[in-house]
Amino acid sequence: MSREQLATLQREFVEALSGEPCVFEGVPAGRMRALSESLLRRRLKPMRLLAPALSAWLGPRFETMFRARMGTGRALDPRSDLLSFAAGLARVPEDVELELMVLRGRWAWLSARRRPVIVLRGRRIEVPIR
Amino acid sequence: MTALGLGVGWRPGLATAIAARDDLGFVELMADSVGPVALPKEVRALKERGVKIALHSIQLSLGGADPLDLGRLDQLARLAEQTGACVVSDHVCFLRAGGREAGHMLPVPFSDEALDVLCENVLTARRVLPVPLALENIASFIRLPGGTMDEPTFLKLLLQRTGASLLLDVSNLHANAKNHGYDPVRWLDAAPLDRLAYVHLAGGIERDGLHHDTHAHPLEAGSLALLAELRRRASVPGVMLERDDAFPGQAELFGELDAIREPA
Repeated sequence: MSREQLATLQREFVEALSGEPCVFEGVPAGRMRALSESLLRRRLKPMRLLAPALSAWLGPRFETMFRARMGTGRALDPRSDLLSFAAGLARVPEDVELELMVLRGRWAWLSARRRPVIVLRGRRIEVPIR
Repeated sequence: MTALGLGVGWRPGLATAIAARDDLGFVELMADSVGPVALPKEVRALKERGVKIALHSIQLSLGGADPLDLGRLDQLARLAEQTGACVVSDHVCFLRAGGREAGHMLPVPFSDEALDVLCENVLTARRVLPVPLALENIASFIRLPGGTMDEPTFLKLLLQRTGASLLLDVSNLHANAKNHGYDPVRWLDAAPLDRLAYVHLAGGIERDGLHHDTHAHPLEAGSLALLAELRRRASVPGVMLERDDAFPGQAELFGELDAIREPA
């Protein structure tokens, strides 16, 4: 394996993790699924922490749905719940810039961070981890 | 290696309990959670008591074939100076590729090419960082294809070629051994324990037939048994508890610290 091949392997693996179905040649499907679910949980943690702060913009219905999902420990479904989240984000005022990643138009999440941050133009609001 | 003693990952949710513990030799700060201007007042108070600071990063992506993010590295170096850290650590993994963030620490294949990439990045990091760099083994459900050696051999070569030291996460070893079906004690026998900087332990759970390294559950007997095996084989300069969520009360936290503390 050359360095270029290693770079390709890493790039394709990161892309595969965001794919549906989440598969990668040479890695057992069950392990890929477990990694994908673990990844989703990590990405949801900052979203869960941000939910109260966002509810003023996104509306209490979103927060209720979000808390109900997280309360069960069940992962959000990327095709419905996260699209709802993304749709909710569309209602955020224009002068608010969220650190948001969207892959392939299907998944949306806040970038995984240990300390969630909402970035307003010119200033940052840090959401304390509880 | 610097003697660190007993430590704990400092988190705001544990600050009161940590302040009440009088036998700590060090606390580990998450580099990504510490502001560039001032340390939290609780950490400043610990420093004034003589508690050492270790700085832990999860952002460098040292195993990535993409170019190292030098801005991020400079920021980490400044933070090490500002906090007076005695050591900086990050992981043997990659986090981003092709400009895309994975949001998860991902394993590198244990191959010569991955080793070359890691060595290059680690040497760059060591040139920039003002204090020693320790590298941590990660927990992962998967192995990427293309590996040609085992993890202890890979780590040994990595540390030999870079001069970095080992941050051994015993709980990650415990999790990987269960998930990949190998003997963790044999892993310890083959690992570069002479390069040990300090040790991490954290809780986890079994779920759907896999062991998950959650940092949100109590320590497991298997991890503690491995720590005992490690102490039979090497001098351990420091050992610390990581807890990132579902923070326990003071009594439970102290019980776990007592469990990992070097026996008198």
